[in-house]
Amino acid sequence: MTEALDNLERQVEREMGLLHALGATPLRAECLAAVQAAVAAEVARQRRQRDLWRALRGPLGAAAALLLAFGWASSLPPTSRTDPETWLQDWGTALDASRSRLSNAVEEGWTRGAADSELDDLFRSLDDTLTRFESL
Amino acid sequence: MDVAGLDDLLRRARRRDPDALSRLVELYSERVFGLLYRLTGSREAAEDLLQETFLRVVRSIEDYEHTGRFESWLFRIAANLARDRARRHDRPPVASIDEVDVDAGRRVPAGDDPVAHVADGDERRRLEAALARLPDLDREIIALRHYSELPFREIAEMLGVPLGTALARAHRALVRLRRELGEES
Repeated sequence: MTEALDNLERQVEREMGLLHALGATPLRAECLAAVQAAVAAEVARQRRQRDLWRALRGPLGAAAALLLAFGWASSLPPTSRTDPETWLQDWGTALDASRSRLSNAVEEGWTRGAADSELDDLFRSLDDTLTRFESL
Repeated sequence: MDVAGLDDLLRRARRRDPDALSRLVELYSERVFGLLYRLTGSREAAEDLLQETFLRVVRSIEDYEHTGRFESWLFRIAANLARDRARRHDRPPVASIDEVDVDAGRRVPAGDDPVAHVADGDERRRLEAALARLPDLDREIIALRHYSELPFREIAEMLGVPLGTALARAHRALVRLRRELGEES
């Protein structure tokens, strides 16, 4: 079987010479230039994205932790502590609120210009949430 | 380009070195374009897909593990794109014979107006038309062999068919081409 395949392959390889008559299919210089430009633009776009991500990774992590705590603390009704189902639902709602705040924060760039009093509030919320954790 | 040179180029390309990626485009564009042109039957579609092929290379080259089969990877991307396009357009990958005939034999040296160039041989024109009439998979196999220069074993693997099937289809296609060109002895 292997020998038969080898023979067939040799025969096909010989016959492939027929396609040499096709010659080259030259590419227009404009097309090649457009491909080169598209590739360069894609590389630049990826680099920008990577640099942006590197720059934001640290602040975003901290902001996410703070906002999660803030969202949780401000959305959690006092009664939910005793009802696990409601508590879980509230937790989900708070998480959604945090995501939304995180998104707003990133889009509006508050991390660059947040007032001290605003940050104090966030830290107080974090403390409050930690207290809640301790009581669970 | 020798193996060491290609290895180095690919290492740099994986780090998103623009010069290395540009060099890859330069090295492979013509052959990939040739394949795409045969599979789509349209210069315009082949040009679009050529660009898309290299954009995919840039986006996924980090995931490519160099095992000496870059060409197989590259041509697989191109062939898949041509197949996807054919499916999207709900038509055979190759355009009508008329369309192929219009393009047949057109040689377009860099910077020249393609329309200014006329067919450079009846044989070539007839071969292109006969090629366009082949069943899709048969044409894909021999076009891949011709343009990618990959061995049939890799082409069979790429297309997910046994080697024997790939060879038998290639053989059938070549016999048919010879017959249509009146070269059968």
